Amino acid sequence: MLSIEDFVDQNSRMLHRSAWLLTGNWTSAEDLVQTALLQSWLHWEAIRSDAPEFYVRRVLVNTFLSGQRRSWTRESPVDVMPDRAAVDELPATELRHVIWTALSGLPPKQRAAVVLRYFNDLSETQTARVLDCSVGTVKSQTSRALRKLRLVPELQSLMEKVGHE
Amino acid sequence: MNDFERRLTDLLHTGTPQPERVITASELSELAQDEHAPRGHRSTRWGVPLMAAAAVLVAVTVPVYVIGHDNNSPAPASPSLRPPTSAPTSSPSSTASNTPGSVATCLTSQLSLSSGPSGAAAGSVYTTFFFTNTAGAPCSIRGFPGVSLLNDAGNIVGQPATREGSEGSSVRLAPGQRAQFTLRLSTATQTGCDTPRPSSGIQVYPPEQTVPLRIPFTTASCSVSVQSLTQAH
Repeated sequence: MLSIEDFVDQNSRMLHRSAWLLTGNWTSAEDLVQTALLQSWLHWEAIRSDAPEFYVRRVLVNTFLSGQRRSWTRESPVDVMPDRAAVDELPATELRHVIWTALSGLPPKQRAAVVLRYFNDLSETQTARVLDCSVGTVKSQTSRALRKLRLVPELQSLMEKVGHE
Repeated sequence: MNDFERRLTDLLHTGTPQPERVITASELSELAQDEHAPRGHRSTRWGVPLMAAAAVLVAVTVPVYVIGHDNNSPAPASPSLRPPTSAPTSSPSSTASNTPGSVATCLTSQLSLSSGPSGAAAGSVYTTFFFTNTAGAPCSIRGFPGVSLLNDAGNIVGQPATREGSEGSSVRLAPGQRAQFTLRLSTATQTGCDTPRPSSGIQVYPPEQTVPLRIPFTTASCSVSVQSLTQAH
């Protein structure tokens, strides 16, 4: 039987990365992961036998979405790509910058759907389970998100380079 | 999935940054205790003051755990009652093999190596590789693999991969599960790579192992760097 310690060690890194995609900064990401893992820790006996990774993702996403409703914690998205002369020196920085610029333009729920579907590789059904909504809602949220992401030119040009050489 | 979705998936997998540090089980153990403390300081953020407070709490409660802790007994029902994994090592029961949930380091003979998706950005090519646990028992793997590129004759080409980023945390691999690492190859003149050297294979030492694994991997590069192992998603 999986122990909570192993569960934490196995999932912490991916949860941090998912939370970064939602929030765009490590401080908020750590807050989300801590909240989600602590809840899992406290309720481990109840959740361990029934796909605890769904539980932890659900707490993470719900905490993110409920935090978003408070205006004083809302992030300020970058609406204009700043000029970056030295991008070649820092490919990783460039990648994360473009990714966050694109994701920050999405409403929170669409962003959450994109992260679950395309970073966590969940199916539409699994995403619906985490977001506690219908598969139809997942489909409409992701298709709206994809429509917006297609209009981000920096994302498009980066995609040309990544993955299809 | 359409082409755009596939590209988005590749981009997110490649470009989402790795955290410099992650929350560990022992930190959570302390936070969980903090949560249960009747009039204790409750905090939703960890930080130095909280860690100090938790350390005091641990110091006070550890003797009780040591007395009550029997290595052969099953895990206590409530996770919050487990001894903190950061307990002082003077505890007679604390040896590496007895740490809750710890398993042996993965041996080369228990692992297979495969290459995964490849992507490129700004003069570098990123390729993901996987170690699969092919044994019948779980094992754990942590840190940086030792990576070299090989020519057709099987000889090492250029310098071994340099390490990039932090060592990362331990990844537990159940039978059939995978850990992954990302290799970055400098391939273009804009990264100072004028004469990339061709290679057709890759040799990888799993962390702490003296026997390498080899698979075909055709590329041309000037330098190679490797990031630490993480759980495969």
